[in-house]
Amino acid sequence: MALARIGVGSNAGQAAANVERAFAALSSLGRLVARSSLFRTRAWGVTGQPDFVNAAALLETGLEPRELLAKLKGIEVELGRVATFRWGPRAIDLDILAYDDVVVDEPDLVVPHARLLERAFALGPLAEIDPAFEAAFFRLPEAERASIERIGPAPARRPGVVDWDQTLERVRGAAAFCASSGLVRFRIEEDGLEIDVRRGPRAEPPAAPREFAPAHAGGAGSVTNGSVSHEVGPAASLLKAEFVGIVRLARPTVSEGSLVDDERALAYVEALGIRNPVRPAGPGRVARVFVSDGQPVEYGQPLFAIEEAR
Amino acid sequence: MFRKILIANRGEIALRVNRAAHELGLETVAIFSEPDRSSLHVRNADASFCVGPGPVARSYLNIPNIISAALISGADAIHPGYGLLAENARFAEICADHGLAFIGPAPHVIAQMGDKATAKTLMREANVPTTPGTDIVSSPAEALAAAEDLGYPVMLKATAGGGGKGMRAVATPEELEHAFATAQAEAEANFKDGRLYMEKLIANPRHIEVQIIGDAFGNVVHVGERDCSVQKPSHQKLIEEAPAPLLAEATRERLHSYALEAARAVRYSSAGTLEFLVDGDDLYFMEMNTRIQVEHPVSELLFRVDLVKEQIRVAAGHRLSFEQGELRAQGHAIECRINAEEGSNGFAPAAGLLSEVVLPGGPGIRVDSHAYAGLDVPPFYDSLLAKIVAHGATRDEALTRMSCALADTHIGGINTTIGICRAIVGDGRFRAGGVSIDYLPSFAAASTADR
Repeated sequence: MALARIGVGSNAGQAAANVERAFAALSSLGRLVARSSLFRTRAWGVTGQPDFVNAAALLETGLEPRELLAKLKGIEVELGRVATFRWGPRAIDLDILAYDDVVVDEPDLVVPHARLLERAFALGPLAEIDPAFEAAFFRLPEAERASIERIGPAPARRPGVVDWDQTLERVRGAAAFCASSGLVRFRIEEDGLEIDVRRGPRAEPPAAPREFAPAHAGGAGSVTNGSVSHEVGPAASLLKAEFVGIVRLARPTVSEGSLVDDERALAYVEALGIRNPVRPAGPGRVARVFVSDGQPVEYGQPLFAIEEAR
Repeated sequence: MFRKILIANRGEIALRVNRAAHELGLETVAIFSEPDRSSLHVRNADASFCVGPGPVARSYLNIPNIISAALISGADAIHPGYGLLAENARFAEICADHGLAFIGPAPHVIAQMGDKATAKTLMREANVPTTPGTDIVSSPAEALAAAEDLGYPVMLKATAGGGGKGMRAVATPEELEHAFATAQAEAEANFKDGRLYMEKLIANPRHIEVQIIGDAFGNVVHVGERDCSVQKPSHQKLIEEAPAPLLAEATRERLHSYALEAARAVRYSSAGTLEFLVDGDDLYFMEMNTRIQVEHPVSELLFRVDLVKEQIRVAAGHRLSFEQGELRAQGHAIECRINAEEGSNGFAPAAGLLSEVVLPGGPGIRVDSHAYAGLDVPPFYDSLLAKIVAHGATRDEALTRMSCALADTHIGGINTTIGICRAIVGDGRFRAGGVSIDYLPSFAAASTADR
């Protein structure tokens, strides 16, 4: 059995519904291990067309690449693809983005997909369900990454992959419940994950109930970052939040000592559904990381200290 | 009832709303700009978010950051205070779009009342008298005929106007042609729209407004009137009092009933104010303010109600907690605004470090203020530092309490309006009562000339 990464796209008729039908059809070719969210993508190469809806799937299949390609073309026909001009509107478009570590370079089949690493609409959905492609996605230029937009909520993760965002969210939830209910200890076990929250001798909930307060002095009872010093060496500069929002650290996450440049966002400040990238002004080394993933921040709050890379 | 309110304002009104919310058992979230980090409204709230740098456009008017702060903090309502976003219909809509209750009237009511022509039309339909005027007058000849009908003096106004641009007072037919040409040119230059209309000029009226509050069930009451005739040349109010002195009872009652009719006409649900120009026994609707106003404490002292708490309650869908018959004015109340500005120097704003702040207290005195010694007053915002409100059994007692309170007030490090307020409260003409809006400009000019 091999793991194939399939790109799914549609920009004709009920695009989202077409993609859903394609997912259903894909499950006849093997085991559908994961499917990404739907992403809205501006039509590429040709203007004046409706936007694309793109997605990706992980398919565990016994089919060889060429057999798989034939089946995918069959599904395209079945789902009513009409032959139009190149890059024209299409009911459904299925591509093999990658197939295990197999490399195929033939006139009618190129695997991994020739332009996979250039295009957000292919890489973005795939990165969501396959961590191996996250780094490649974040190496895309910002404008390219901004060309896609997730429709609806983020999907469930692939079993066996620990989603730290989700796990931490559940730990925080358990801690908040423990604090608000007066329980001293609270333990849950689910999906192979065990969360055990114990209240310390002083009833200070670890992450609740002031979960939302950004770190700054003032505001009775607000969480202060008194223990965090923003003092850094003279050569360092602070990267600050321009927006009020929630910090999402970019994967792979940087830590103290990481070399960074102005190409790659170190984090995003998510506000009103928009991810605002936080990027250094130029190349450097991370001297301090002041925030953690999922933390609310206010305007002007220091996120990273960047020093000159020696 | 709401659980948590984000207060989208600063200064004394943010403190006022914070207190009302806490009294109702609600949590509060403050927003602030970088120079306001050590403000009292930030300290007194349960949580706070910096939303931008000093200039209001990037902080207190930064709608995305404010909405984001509300959503992150789990607030379920936003109180806009006054000024800033308080009468921004779009902001009220955006709040609703994000599931946040806007503590104020419905967005379309804000929009209707914000457009002066629409508001005037609505009021005419509700049989509330408005300043007599015309539609567009397209030529000097048409203007002359219209002015004959209205009677001089008249005012030419640009329909796209604002800020006094394209506005000309005309006292005689001889001046009209020239005034028409210059107003039209000014309107054309400033608004790319030279159309003019004409209104009868009410020469030196009193400015009297009526406080109203309504709920979502169609109940609406008036909380009496306030006389706000002591205004700077910019029409900013300096001293307000209630009841309006030397006003015929019949006129007072007409004011109240017009205000109620106006509020009912737009199914008004929240606290609001209808401003009227009063010329003898003639009343003219001027505009409606769809917000809590700076001078609301005057009515609160006079009627022993809490308008901000009531405003929050009705926004949460509660019925008004009092009926018209239960509201009885008692005695007299007066407010002086202590602003950080040059009281005797054309009211230019002042900023800087407050080295000393001593505020008055005692029987019949209420002070709403965010000032404290050591506060660095930033140059970006409204200059209001403190509102001193005095209540007495009679107007005389209230005025006496006010003079003593002003004498006991010491603010150092910055120029304020304390001096001019002391002078006005001690002035014979003001003490006699019933001054019109030309009072303060002429008083200020005379006291400058004296020195």
